[in-house]
Amino acid sequence: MNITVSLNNQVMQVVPTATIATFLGSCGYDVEAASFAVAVNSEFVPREQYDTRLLEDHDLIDIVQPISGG
Amino acid sequence: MNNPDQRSDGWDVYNVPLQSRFLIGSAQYPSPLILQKAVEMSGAQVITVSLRRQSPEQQSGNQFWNWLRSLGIHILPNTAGCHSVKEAVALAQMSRELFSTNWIKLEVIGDDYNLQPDTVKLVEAAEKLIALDFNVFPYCTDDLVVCKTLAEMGCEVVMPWGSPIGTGRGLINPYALKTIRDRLPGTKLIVDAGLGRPSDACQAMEMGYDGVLLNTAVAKAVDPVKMADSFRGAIIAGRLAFQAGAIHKRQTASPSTPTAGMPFWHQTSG
Repeated sequence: MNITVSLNNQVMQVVPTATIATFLGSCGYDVEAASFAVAVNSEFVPREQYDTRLLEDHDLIDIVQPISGG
Repeated sequence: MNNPDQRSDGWDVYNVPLQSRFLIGSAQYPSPLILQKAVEMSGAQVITVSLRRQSPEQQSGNQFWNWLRSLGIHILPNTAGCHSVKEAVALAQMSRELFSTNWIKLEVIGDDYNLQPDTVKLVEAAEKLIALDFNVFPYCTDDLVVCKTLAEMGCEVVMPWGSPIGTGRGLINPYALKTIRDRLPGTKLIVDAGLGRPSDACQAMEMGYDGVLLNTAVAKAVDPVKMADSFRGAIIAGRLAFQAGAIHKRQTASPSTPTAGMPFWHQTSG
């Protein structure tokens, strides 16, 4: 039975064994390039945890990249 | 690497030596090329950036980051748009990982109409970030007590607004800004936001502010590159004026040309 997560406000179904790394890889993100940062449920997740942190049902995932700012 | 004007005396921010006192934002420029030229023309050694959601197909984040690195100047990530302490702390941590810097321009917005900082949450967020070894640049209002609190808790730099972000209204409360300068002589003070004209920046520097951070006034000018040059000159002029010490205003006129030896004057014999 899949779990439901939200990626950048887009609801998705994921296998319950998905780590952040496998999930983002399946979504097309280049995890090795490390050109983005991750938060789950509005809390920062360090890069070192991508391979071990399992996603949970109803997790809210944010992926951000650099943009211009003032 | 930008070439800051050598007429400006150097300073340091969180142990990073800087020559330029102009901190520039990277948003709202008409094109990436104009942004690059404006940043070069500004002589700024610190540029502000942010983080936003992006899909994997969007490569603009990578391109922007690669361009930033090529500038060879210091990156100051912001927490723009955050309304809670939790959001601001998380975004700061994400920024540190991506940009490899402990610097964070801390913004916690309390009102969406004028983007006024929520100073209560700002202080709380600053405290948490300092505990996490961040070098915090808090964007705050011109409230003396808030500025003092931030400085006392460990913010080496405090950044009161000139006026609300993007309004171009200049220094709406010079009295408050001058009071903050006088009361916090050991704190690096940067006027951030609301400036419209180079004379606004010059005014802040004449007061003794250590630097100026702005974005919209340059990015939205008719000619952003020329405006960057103008702000650069104004900031240097203001700094030099502060160091030189301006005269005090007087009520009555005082001739600048010597009066002794004035021709055409003859004592009439009575």
